[in-house]
Amino acid sequence: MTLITGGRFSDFAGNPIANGTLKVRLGQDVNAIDGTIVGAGWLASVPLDSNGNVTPFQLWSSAEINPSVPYRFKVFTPAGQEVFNQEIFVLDGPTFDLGGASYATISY
Amino acid sequence: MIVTQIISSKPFTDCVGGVNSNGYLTFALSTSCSVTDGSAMIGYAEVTLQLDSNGQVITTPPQFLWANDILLPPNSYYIVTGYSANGQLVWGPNYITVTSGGVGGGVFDLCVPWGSSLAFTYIIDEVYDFLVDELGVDYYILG
Repeated sequence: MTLITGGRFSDFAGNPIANGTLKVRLGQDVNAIDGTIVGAGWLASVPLDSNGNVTPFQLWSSAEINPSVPYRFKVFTPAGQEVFNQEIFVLDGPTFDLGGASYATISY
Repeated sequence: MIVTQIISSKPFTDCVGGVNSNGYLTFALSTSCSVTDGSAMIGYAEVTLQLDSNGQVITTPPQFLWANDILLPPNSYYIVTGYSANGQLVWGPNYITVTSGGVGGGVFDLCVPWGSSLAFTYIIDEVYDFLVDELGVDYYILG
């Protein structure tokens, strides 16, 4: 699994989405590299810190799941307003910085 | 002919590695069937297989299904759906064909080694897309 870090989620003015929430789920059910069967119906909820960064957590990278599909990431303000909604492929590696996710990794 | 024991050598999990503890799977045949030797007729009512605390199909007592390769008409399959212990849809519905070498009995593992052909035909989860992405429903929140 890959450690998901960073994010630096902010608004148009550059203010961090302080103490917001990231919600993530798989795009579809998959098999993981260790043989487990992973359901897309589970929605993980991860808190953001005062700088808009996620509390580090683990996900299977897209190279470790079959079919290789992206995750759906959404970010909400503390008031519950949705401010980010993208599909992102988690690239294989020990860590994956959400704030460094290039457009090449994002599926619109 | 006899039924086939269903196991999962690995657990059913969420995307962050947590197991579907004490959840369950429902299996529904794609159509009514008969056993090839004429020993039984099988409707398409759902059968429930329980998962244990590790997210694996319970083996004590063993849980059984008719293998599709001893059923008529040919090319039947099971529609499988996974639920959490609280009854929330968390996986599927997906399709699987249970095989027994054409003789019934034996053990069928729902999990396959990495690199093998998938046992399940995974269906795009439009249910989740609709509930989570269109309606904004928090479908099942982990920790």
